[in-house]
Amino acid sequence: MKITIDQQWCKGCALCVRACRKGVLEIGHERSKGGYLMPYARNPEACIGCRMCERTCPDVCISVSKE
Amino acid sequence: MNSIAEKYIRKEALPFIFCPGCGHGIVVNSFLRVIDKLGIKENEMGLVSGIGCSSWSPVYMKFDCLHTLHGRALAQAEGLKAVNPDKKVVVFSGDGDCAGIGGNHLIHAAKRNVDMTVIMMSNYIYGMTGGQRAPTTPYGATTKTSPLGNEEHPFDMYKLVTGAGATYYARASVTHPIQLDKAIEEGIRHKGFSFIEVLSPCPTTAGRNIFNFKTPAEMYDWYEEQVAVLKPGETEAPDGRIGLGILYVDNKKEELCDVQSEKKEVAKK
Amino acid sequence: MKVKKLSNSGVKLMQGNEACAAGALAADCKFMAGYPITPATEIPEYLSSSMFAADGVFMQMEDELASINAVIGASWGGARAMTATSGPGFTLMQEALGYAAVTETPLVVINVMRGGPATGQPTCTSQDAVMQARYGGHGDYEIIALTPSSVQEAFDFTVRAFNLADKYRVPVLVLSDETVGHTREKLVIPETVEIFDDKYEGVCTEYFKPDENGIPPRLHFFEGHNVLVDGQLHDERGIRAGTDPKVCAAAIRRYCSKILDNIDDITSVEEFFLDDADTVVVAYGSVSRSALSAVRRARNGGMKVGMLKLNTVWPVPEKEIRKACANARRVIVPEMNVGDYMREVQRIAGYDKVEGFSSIGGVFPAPKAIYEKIVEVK
Repeated sequence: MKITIDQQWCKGCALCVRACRKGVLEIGHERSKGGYLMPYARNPEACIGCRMCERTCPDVCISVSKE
Repeated sequence: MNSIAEKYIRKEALPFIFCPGCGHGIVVNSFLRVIDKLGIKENEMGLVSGIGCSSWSPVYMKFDCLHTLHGRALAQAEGLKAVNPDKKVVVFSGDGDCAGIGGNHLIHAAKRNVDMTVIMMSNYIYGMTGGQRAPTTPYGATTKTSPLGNEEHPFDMYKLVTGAGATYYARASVTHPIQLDKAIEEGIRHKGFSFIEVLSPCPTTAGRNIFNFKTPAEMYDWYEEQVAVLKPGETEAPDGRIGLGILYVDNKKEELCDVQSEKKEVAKK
Repeated sequence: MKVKKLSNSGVKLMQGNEACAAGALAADCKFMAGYPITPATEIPEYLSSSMFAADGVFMQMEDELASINAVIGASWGGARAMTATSGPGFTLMQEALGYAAVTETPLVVINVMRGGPATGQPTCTSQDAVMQARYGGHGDYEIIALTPSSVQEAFDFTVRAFNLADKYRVPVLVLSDETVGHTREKLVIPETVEIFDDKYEGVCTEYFKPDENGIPPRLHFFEGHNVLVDGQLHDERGIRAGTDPKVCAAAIRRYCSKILDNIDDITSVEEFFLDDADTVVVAYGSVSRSALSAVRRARNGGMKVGMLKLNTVWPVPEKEIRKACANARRVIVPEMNVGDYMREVQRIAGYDKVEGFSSIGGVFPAPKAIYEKIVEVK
């Protein structure tokens, strides 16, 4: 699965990290345009495509797609 | 941006005004998914909101939108609907906007059973002004204007709105986005006054400043502990937690626009 | 302007309030929301069935806040919409009137003025909302206010109010009063009325971009524009700009200038015996009828008295007042308040020569009273 996080609008709230029950996401060191530390897919291979991160993102910036 | 948001978001209005981790964005996210699923077109729906953080929600969507005065969303929505009975009207409101300053309009819109959907994002606090007591703030809770603990009891929104005459009531929480989708979808499908109470945490003025949650995630964990998904037929959770689900549906009561159409025919004779 | 043929034309005996309602229907008003209040109640009563018969909707709301806000919603929904109220109800509507001004929402409010402040004198006539009409809401914006003095004018001015509202995208007030509202007299409903019907063609994305007259496109919901209407000061796309001084200043100036720059098109006055007048009476609304009677009597007695009747009080017909009063030695402004509009006339015609003739407490100034004011030796 491919997890894309929109650098333009991410506010680094980390709710996606919390929503993912498979531990795919983690807050990294890269900052979004707004200056927030952004999440990234640390182990995308564990993603089962449940899209809870996509549903939970309050800034609608995550999209999960089949590679 | 996710593919559904890509279709419906009014990009020039971004970014969302919401603080990081605000539940209201999750409601927007959910609402767009439902609209996409139901195939509602731009010209088929008007959005109306009042004042407060939650009331910014419809501003970011590519639909005709009235961002009205504090408390007056329902009144404007009723006028909009009355002259466009074939269109969907959805109202986005907060607990303060809807049950506080707009409380009189709320009970009367419910009484009229006018066909519209109200999504009330409840964070139990006045968020935009910095964390003051709301009409939903629990008894004894500390806020900026109840530092000694809330002296007043909160509204029971379910009893208030269904008691006033609403014909659909659902309670959802942004910690449960799948159930949230369902509550909104059924609310939009329902013909009559549909009310959806959405528990939508305010991680900044409530979470950080009042409850000392370090992160939004911490606050969401706590919210998740307070709620329980109801089984069909239940209106309360057996263990006293806050029940999530569709609590009430009445498909029999006359809907206002239908009645108004009948009156037109009678009056023309 | 399109011409609409009226099916109910002819001579009627009607009350001023009913004439406002009949005028609204003639003007294709399709939505009325109101809350009962003396002395305006006959308007919603009249429309409560006839609006449905005209394929419109009447709603009795829970209060005046709901009424005016429902009217705003209906207006954006594409209907000509109105409410009617008085005194305290009009006070409750002020916030929404400001909202309508800033969102450039066309609508009509009929204010059948009664004595205030507060509950005041519910059944008594007054003109004490004349300043409130202009300055009732917070913030700077211009509105239009028409002042009918008869049942005929109640009808005619209501029709015009709807056209002005649509033309200038602004709330328009019909400042009637208890005297006009409850007077029953002859009304001639014309064969036809003109209806302003300029519609926007195509799809618009700059919802508040003014044309050469300062007026934004005439848009409604559900036409494919995805209009964004916001009470916070906004840019031409409707996007909030509350912290942008340049955008906000330009917007505020335009809310004023779109009316003031078109004042000649909006203003309506009538002149009586002004050519050689050394005493000029400036009057509006029901008082102007009494005043005209007094002026005629004084003329018959050989006095050089003239009168300027204001059919629109906001924006102030400055040019017309200045001209009418230029050669006058004395200007009298009779009105049913403590002398509110007199101050406007004072600032235009000169402080020294303008006097008020104030009639308060619910007393309508009889022609005799105004006559005595005119002939008093100073």
